[in-house]
Amino acid sequence: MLRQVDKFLRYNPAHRQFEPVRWRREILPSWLTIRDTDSALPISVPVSPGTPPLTIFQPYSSVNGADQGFGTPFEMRSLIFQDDVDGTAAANFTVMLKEVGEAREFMNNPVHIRTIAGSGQFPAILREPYMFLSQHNVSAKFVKVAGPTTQMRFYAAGAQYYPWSPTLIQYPADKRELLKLLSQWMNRRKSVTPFWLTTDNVPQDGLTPPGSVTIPAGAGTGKFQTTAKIGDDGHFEAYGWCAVSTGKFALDLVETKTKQTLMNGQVSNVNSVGSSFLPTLFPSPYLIPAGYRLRWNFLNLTAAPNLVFFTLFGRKIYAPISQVAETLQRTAVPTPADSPTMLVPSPL
Amino acid sequence: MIPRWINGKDGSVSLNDLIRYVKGGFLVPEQSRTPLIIPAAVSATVPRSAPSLVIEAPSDSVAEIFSFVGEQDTGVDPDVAARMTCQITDVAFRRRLMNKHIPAQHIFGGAGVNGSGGVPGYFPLFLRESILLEQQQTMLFDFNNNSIAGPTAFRFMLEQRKFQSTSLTRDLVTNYIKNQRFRKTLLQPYFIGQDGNVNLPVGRQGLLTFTNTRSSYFIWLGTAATFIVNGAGGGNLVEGFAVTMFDAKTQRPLQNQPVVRSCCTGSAGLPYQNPTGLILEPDTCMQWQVQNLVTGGGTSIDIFVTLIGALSYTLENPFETPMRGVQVADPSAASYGAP
Repeated sequence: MLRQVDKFLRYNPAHRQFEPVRWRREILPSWLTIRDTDSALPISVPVSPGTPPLTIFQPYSSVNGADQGFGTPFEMRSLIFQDDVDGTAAANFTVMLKEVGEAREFMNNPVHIRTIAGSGQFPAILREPYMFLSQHNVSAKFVKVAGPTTQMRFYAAGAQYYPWSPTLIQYPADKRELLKLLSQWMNRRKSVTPFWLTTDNVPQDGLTPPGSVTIPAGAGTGKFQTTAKIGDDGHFEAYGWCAVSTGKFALDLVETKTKQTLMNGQVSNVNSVGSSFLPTLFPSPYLIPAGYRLRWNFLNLTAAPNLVFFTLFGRKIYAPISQVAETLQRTAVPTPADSPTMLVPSPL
Repeated sequence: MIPRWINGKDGSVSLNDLIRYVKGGFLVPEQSRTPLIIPAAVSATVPRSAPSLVIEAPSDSVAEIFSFVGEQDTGVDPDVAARMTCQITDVAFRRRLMNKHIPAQHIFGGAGVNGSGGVPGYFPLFLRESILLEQQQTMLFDFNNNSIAGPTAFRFMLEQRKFQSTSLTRDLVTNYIKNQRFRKTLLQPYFIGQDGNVNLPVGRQGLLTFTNTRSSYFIWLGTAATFIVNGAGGGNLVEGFAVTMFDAKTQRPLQNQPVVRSCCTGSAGLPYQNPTGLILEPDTCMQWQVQNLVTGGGTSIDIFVTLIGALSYTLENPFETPMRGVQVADPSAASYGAP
């Protein structure tokens, strides 16, 4: 006997019919953007120093405290943007996101927008959804890479939870289900957040944004080496990478402590690197323990100097990893051991 | 849908044995050798229609349809492609798959770089719930040409899985089909188009409404949208419009600021996928406030939005309810006064 058709419909024996799962009705698809955007007008992004820090704010709402202290949280699932067509080098701009209240940064340096956000048709899916609590702020700072000011819009897409919805009063079991799910999220968000890792390089020209590298001119001869350190506060689990550049390049990546490499020779960006719209996903997540360092060896494949923004995307794990084996690089073939060690909330 | 690989409880991964009994295939209308040509509309408000096109499941297999693909021939005016509409009926179940005629561009994706109407489609439109057709069951496709710019030249097909009749003795197959039959009594793919047409002059706002059917829950899973600029426009010709969406029953806004078209909608081939499905109650109306972003002299835009998802018929469970006996007339019985 089929009791559940899909996650939205469930058989109710009392009524002898299939009915919607009520607690799912109180999770609505939603979009969150810069708080003070005036109507649908875009945001102007100039070159360095860029915009002032802008605020993405999640409001609080509730009815008579029926939210059990959860407010109206927003589960951020993907990032989306839209900008003007721009012909300048490495168009268009970089972004730096910070959780203000918890003083957490989501990246080690500003990352290029085309390595972090996609479009409505190709949204950049977060490898770890971020539970954005009521009354919390994320600050976003945008800096145009070069050329005149550009116009853009930036959205976080996800799901809005209404644990206090009056509709749930009639369905206490559904309300418990929703509160249980939120409790799991509350625990999880303490120790796992989305994270983007780019190079630690800080250009000295005062104009090019931090995080970018410029490979010297010379096809096949121009070389540049740079590193990025995983902070001591947590481990980084990379799910893939993407890049934006003004020309073709090749690279290899080495973890400096263990000397492990991800390739046996240099690979070209065309063969190995996507963008946030269609990123390159690793066959298996790449866990880099806290305090470790990655080293990029870039090789220019074009004659002109090559401006490169390179980003690994994944999640930061702010928790001790209990088994030594888990600190090792994951094998290429997925095995049961590759499943996350921490409890994962029920997928929606 | 059939998963290709199955995870065992011990962590093992094995090929789904059901795959061995399934073939891929295509279904096209019987008149598929030539494109569907509908002359230009009589006027901007009086379309021309084509006779219903019939797609029939094979006589030797059960078909499970999972995607729609279509394209206009080269040379068809873009305005014609954008305004052509379609309505689909599942004849066996006497059900329509949409509340009204829906733009064909929102229903038929592409198989490669050629999407419908010359718009790159890249992917077919994958249905949110597959359609099971028993042997020789049919679907009707009704098309309208709403443009006065010229005739259509449209070709389309459905992608299917075929369960050959020779495989219908396998428990694996029969159980799967039995399950699909049951699902079909409760769920079907569904498209909700906006109520009425919307033409927005420069810098103006308007209201789109989407009314759900009276007795069914609609699970909104994705969105496709297009717009047509009338006259020479300026300003933001790429985005076209921005929207503010409101939940149907509770009127909750779904965003903190208006969202531009490309960040909340897509096409048939690549619709915007909602991060989570939204259940719309029967007989409720979802509202979208739309704002024209195109500026310039005398420009207006026509907006077309389609909500993509599945319709749930919350019927009494037909497999649990005792079937009522059919009253058969018996001429020899007492009604004729026999002793």
